[in-house]
Amino acid sequence: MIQLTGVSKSYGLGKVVQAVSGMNLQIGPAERVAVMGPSGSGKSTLLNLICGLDGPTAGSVKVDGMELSALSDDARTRLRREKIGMIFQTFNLLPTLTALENVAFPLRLQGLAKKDAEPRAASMLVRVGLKDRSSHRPDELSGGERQRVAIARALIFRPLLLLGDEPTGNLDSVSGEEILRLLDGLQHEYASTLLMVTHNSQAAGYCNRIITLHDGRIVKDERFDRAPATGR
Amino acid sequence: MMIPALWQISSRQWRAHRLRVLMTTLGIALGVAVFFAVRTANTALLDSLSLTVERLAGKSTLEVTSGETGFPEEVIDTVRATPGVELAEPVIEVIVHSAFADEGNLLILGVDTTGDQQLRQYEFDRSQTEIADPLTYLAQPNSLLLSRAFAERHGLRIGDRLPIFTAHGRKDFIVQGLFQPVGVGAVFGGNVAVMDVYSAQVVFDRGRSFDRIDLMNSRSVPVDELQRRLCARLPAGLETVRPQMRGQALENAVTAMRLGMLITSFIALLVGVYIIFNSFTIAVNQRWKEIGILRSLGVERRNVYAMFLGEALLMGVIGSISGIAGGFYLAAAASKVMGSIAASVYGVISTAVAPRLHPVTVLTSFALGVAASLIGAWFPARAASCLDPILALHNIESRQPESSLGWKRIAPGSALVLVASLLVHFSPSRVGMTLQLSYAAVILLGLTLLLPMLVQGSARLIHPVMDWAGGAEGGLAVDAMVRSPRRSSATVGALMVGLMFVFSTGAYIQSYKHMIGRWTHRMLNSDLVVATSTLLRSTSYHFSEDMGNRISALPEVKSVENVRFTFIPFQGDSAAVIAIEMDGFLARASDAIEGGSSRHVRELLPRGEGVLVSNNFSARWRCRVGGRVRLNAPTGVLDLPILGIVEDYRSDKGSIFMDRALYKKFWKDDAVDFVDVNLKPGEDATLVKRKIERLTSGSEHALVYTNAELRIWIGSLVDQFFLLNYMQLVVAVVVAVVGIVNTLIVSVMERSREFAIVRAVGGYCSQIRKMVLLEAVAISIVGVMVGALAAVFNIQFMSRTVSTVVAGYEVPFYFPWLLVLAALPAVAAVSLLAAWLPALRAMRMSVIEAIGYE
Amino acid sequence: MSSSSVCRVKLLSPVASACVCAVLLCLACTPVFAASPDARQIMEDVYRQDTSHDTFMRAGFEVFDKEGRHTKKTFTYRRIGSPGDSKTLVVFNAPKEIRGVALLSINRTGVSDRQYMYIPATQRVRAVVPQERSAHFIGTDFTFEDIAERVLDDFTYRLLGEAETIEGHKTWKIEATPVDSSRSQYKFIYYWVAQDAPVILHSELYDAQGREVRVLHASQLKRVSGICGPRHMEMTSVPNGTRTVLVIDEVKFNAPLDETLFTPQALGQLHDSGPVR
Repeated sequence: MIQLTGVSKSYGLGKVVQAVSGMNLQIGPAERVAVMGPSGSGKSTLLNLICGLDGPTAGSVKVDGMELSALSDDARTRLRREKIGMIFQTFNLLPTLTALENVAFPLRLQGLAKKDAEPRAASMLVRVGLKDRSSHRPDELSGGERQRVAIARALIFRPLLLLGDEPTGNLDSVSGEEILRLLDGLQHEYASTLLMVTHNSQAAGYCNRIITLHDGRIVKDERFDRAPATGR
Repeated sequence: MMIPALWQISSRQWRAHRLRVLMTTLGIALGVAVFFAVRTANTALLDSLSLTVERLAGKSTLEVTSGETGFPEEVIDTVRATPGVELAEPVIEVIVHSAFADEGNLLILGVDTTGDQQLRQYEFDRSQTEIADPLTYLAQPNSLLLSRAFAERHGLRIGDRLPIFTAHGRKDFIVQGLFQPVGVGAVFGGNVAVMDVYSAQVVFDRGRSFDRIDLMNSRSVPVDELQRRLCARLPAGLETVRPQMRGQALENAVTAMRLGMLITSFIALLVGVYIIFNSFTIAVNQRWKEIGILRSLGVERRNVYAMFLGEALLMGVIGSISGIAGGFYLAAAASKVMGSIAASVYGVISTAVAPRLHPVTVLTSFALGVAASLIGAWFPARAASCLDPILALHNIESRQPESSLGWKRIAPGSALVLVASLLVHFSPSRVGMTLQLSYAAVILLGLTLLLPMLVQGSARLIHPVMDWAGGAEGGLAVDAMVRSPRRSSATVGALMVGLMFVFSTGAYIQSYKHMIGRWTHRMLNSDLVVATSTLLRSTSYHFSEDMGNRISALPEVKSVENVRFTFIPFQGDSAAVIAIEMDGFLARASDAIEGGSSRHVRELLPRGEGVLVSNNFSARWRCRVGGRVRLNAPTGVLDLPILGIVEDYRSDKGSIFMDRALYKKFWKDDAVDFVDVNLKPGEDATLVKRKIERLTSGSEHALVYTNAELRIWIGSLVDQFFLLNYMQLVVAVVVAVVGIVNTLIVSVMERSREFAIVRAVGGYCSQIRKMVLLEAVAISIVGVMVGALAAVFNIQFMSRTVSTVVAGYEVPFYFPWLLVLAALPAVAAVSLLAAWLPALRAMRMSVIEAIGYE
Repeated sequence: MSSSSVCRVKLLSPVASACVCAVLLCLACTPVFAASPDARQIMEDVYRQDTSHDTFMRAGFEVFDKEGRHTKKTFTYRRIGSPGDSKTLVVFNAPKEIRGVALLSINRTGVSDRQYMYIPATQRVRAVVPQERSAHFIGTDFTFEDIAERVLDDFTYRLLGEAETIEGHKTWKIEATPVDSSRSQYKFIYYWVAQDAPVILHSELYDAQGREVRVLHASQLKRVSGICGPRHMEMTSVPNGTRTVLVIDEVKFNAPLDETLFTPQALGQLHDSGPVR
């Protein structure tokens, strides 16, 4: 599903910051991967490289067999639209749209009419337990609710790849737990590959592979055999 | 094509930022309204001119004319004897002052009523089938037929007397018939009378000459052929043209005004572009994060681009439609202004024509409005589409320092300003008006690119002052501008454009007045001037030389000069002729003559062996001292050397000065438009003025000015001419205000989160308020500084390019220090007001709410 | 003419033929008609009776408006030549506004008339363009058609029978209808012609819609140089109630006139004071 070969990424012109260096990584379909490490270890850069928002300075990034550097910006964008669902620490919902509209938005980007997209979004909202909040705008929702909307939006088009950037980072532990359980269940159901950057070992506990980064390199890559949806 | 889903985003954004959308759309609407109104009024004026010509020309297919000077009446025999002439009728056109108070001018059409009926229709009054007594009408030269409109305004009936000033003083005319305000009767707002052409010659002192011959070709001879025949038979000073050409000539006469109006309308549109640009720059800043989210969700760059352009398109469409609607009402006002300027400044008569919706104007205005908003939104939309989504997804706090001051902006910005300035200085006028006018847009574009740098530079300059005057908050306010000049750029940019026009228009007017002052001092330096009209001149009411003689007979008077000021055809256009008694003129104004040997001038000029030309004539026709001018007079061709160049601004077409005797000989015209009176030493001009007024009162319509009054009078004429520029000024001020209000409101509201954070960390409301207001003051100061800088370029542009295009001469550069200083408090006040309300709102906002969600 | 229709500045142009017909149609003399007349023959006699040449006349128009106010214009009239090939000269004497205005008309059959006018105030002679037939002559109730030389063949005639006695003369009533309706403003005209002289004593003129528009009445028949005719004619405009009286104070026939007077150039030098030799 994801294949990184000798990937490096550096920023800046004078004082160069090496965010990722010489990274090799392979992630198979339906894997659940947590990426951990201290601040500045290159976790977010890795995510950005995989979703094609950023390009590597060296090496190759392949997603679903496609070499990202060979794709145009538009093609990479289309890849995100069609194959990658993203969940952010700061939710990144569109503030002017309601919960329902936010969830329906990826479908509408894919060309579905409003009348076709919104029933699907409504049932997705039911799945994430926000049946009664569908007409609320993000600023009328709690943090946990916002993240549920974000998850619903990320999964509505059944992406091959689900990327999470600290999905529970902005939430209290109870809400975080709920979100993780939800994510776990849905990921299993949709059989998406999950790659989640997190500081939170509780969150990592939901994954069957934990990669630890330090200074832009993989220092540990552990696999666990965990039953999905159990969480422990 | 934009993805439908993005429309949803746009529409929600619009709903959330109604004020910004409203102000932006208003900006476009304003631009389109002014443009549409000016175009429509322009068309209405032209329609009215051609309608006037059509009505006055009747069925005639050709006209024989000789500028304004008229020609000997024998010409009609030649015309009538030309094979192919079916009918030829003489015409004299006179605009007179009736002696009624508060009545405008009256157009008197002198025609041969015995024959003219075949050319023109005079629709008589309903109650009246014909002239009451045709024999008396013809036999009495003071008979006239009056339009019912005019008659009704003054309660005149057949047999009543109408007092009118003629060349021989005030005379009573007898109303011998009334006709309806249709056809000829509808010309000039119904202020029209018809009289016998031969009577008109007598009462208006036209000697044995006509102004025009209207003729019809016989069916067997085509108009073109007849035109050729007549050209071959008639003297060179006479032109045979189609009546439509006279419409053309009238149009030419008001070209300067129309150009001025057109420039105003383009400025308004340019301003519309700027408002859109500002607004979208702000919108992109505001929607920074939204763009990031959209990109991360898989919206391509081009769709982000399309989304912003789509919004601009929609605003353009709405703004244009409402602008056209508003402009239609504005057009009525503009039409009135133009009509009155045409009549008062240019003496061009027109018929009131209500502005009509012309499909072409509607479409052009619409297209320009939409194009303006697309152009305005272009850069911001591009910036939005190029936004780095990773950066955008982060919070505002983590935005990187702006790279707006990089060479990528400075180099092209400086280059554009430099190139356009060089073009303003060195490009010849033959490149065409459109290209010339575009220099201003190029300069503006360059300055816009340089704006963040200018803002930063100016902010650094005022930093110490703000620090000293405003304390910590003052320093902070300026710091914000130094660190993120782009945020303030929108407001400063709006101010820059508005103030640039205010300053440069003010400078232009000042400079022009200064120049006119110098000219009056050098050229119009006689002690008293007697004029025929409160305007520069009357096209048809003149004095006779007898009046000059009577004035010169006064014991206090040393000498008088009779001056004829008229227009003659010249190389397909026209030129002013100022025929003056040169001995007297040279005695008092010889130092105004540039170039050429003064001995030469003194010898040849009074003998009629050469002419002087005005500086704008020399520039317009590219002729110098030593060159020659060829003038076609009704009695023959005059080919004379140019002996010198004088400063003269009486006509935008350029003026030719010649000795009066020469003019009289070749043009058979001894009318007088001005009498320059020079007094004996020690005589009191005011006392002599009263004496002359007594001498002429009740007989001539004479206006006597002392030299000081003359300057004031000319000043007021200049003001009248600058009515258009004052309109431009109003547009500029409106723009500046809309710009400040728009951008400050948005910018303050955009920062409500920032303020909330300041409050959360312990800032007082009063501190925030002070900061906001001080920043508004800082922006005003920087805006005035940048506006003044931009004005320097634009003054160059106006005093060189615009002035040459519109008036035919350059105006000296002048920087309006006082205006700039006066603008500071005014702009600061508006800024404070514009920032006050949103600041209050920001204060009332709950801190938790504001920082809770971005 | 309908009141709202387009009217024009009506002038004096064909004054030459002007008074000729209005007056001379009535100034006829012999022969006296036989018992069984033919309408055309009667009219032919009326038209052809004028054998005079070199005519001088002193006359005046009195125009009465609806309210009865009146203005009077007096003039002298001279004609050399005979109908169809003549020159006529009219000079106005009163009122003072028009004193000295002179009108010269040069008429030749088959050629359009040339007309000239002299106006003392502007001291110039000007050519005058022919007027519309229905235009009023110098503000009187006569139209240019009424005072123009009438051509016999332009009308067809029908005798309507013997009619009432007018001014002591027995009359024939004749209906005249234009052959070409475009050449007359009238649909038809009724004439009352004296049976004992070829003089039209009374006419009623009907417009294109068949409405009576004008009535012309002649009276005070007198004989001069063997020619008899009326000295008083009254034209009444029926619709608006105005009328014009033409009073002939003096008539001379066949008294030789100076032909050099009848040129445009001479108009300016004219000082009118009676028959000119």
